[in-house]
Amino acid sequence: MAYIELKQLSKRFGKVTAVDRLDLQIAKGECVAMLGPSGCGKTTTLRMVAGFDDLDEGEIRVGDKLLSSGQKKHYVPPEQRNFGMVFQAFAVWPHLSVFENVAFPLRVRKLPKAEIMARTEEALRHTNLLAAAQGSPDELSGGGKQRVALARALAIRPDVMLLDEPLSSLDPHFREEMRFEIKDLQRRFGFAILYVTHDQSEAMALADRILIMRAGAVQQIGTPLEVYGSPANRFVFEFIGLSCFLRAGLTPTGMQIAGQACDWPAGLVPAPEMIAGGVGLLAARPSEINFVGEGGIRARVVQKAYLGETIDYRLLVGDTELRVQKTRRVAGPAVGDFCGLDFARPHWYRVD
Amino acid sequence: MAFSLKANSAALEQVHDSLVEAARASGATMAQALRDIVIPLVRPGMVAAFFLIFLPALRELTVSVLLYGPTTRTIGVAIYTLNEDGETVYSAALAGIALIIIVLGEVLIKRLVSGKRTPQG
Repeated sequence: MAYIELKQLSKRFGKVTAVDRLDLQIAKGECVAMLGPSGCGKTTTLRMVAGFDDLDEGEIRVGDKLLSSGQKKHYVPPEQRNFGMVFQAFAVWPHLSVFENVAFPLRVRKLPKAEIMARTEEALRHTNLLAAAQGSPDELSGGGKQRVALARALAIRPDVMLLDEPLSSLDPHFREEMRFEIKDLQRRFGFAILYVTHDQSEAMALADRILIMRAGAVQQIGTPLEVYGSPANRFVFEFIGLSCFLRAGLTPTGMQIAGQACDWPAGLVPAPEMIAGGVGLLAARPSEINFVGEGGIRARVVQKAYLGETIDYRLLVGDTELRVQKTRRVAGPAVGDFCGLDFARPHWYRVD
Repeated sequence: MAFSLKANSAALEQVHDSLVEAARASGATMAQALRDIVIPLVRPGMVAAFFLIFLPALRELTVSVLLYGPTTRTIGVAIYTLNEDGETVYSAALAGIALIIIVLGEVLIKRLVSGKRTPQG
């Protein structure tokens, strides 16, 4: 099933390990986003797939073709890999017209003239650039330039698109629009996407699966639902979505937070190893904390902000600040009030 | 030379790496990328560099011609005529002396400039 296969990929720059034994399989037509803070190795991984960086160990295969291999010292240069690629900095050539930018990969391949015309026009039509074809790309906005780059990548009809933070240099309101355009093009042409981004909402919206990296190491690979709903570790929990943490003392019968004891609710007991340790870190999404009148963990509201549809509460539990978000339809406590908190779906992590 | 190098490298720096990488990802070899992308983009800088060299060279020639008389000879002309007369050793020695003066001047300038840049204390 796997069309693209990265096996035990490693890359070192001097003493720093940029990518550490990364394994990833991408099916035909699938979209995988690599997500992580800057310097986590996601761009390096993409550049190794593209062939701009060689790897130290491991293998990259696409279909039945071996592209890079550390053991066999095998390396196919980028121009023979046949991928479509879009860069963060647009990388459209200012001395060529929009049409010539898009036609360039076809001219390099020495296709017949009629076919170059037809395929360039097709790529321009699908990216809504026909009207701008004869102008210079410098006359276009950032979004327009990125569409030129997309059209240029489309022209070769690739099986694989490599997108390196393609939306990061665009205005925020263009980003969502382009997101849909990319998804739409993928549906129409059926290429697989390897997408690098540091924007989690972009990854969630576009990707079938998300790979989360930190300091060169893969933290989790899963669907957007999996990485949000069942984060593999504390880093993933904190990196995807909003989060808050509370230190808790643990006993077999219940937990103790800021001097308040409460019994384990049914079905929410942490793992026995965690309880044996005596302390744990309770992690919760601000939207998954509920207010209760009686019982629960008592907290005081210190701030309340209306964000339109949701209300953002800042609460103090002991001396730990906590964030709760509820829709405005739920009647919540006022600033200064004490209230009880119920954690709907807590996760437990080890205290470092 | 230094002028033209500066102008050329400034022009080359303007060509972002991703412009070349985009060409390679499009299927162009390094040589094709150089021919179709890099050189067309740096051409204006190269033309500027050519004039930066050409104009001082032209001026120097005029100055030499103006200064040259039966009793005064500029170093450049002296080296040239000595060499023409077959006195290769003398002309080389004179060229060597001229070179030493230039190097000394260069070192002096470097000293003065770098002295200013290092913060005191």
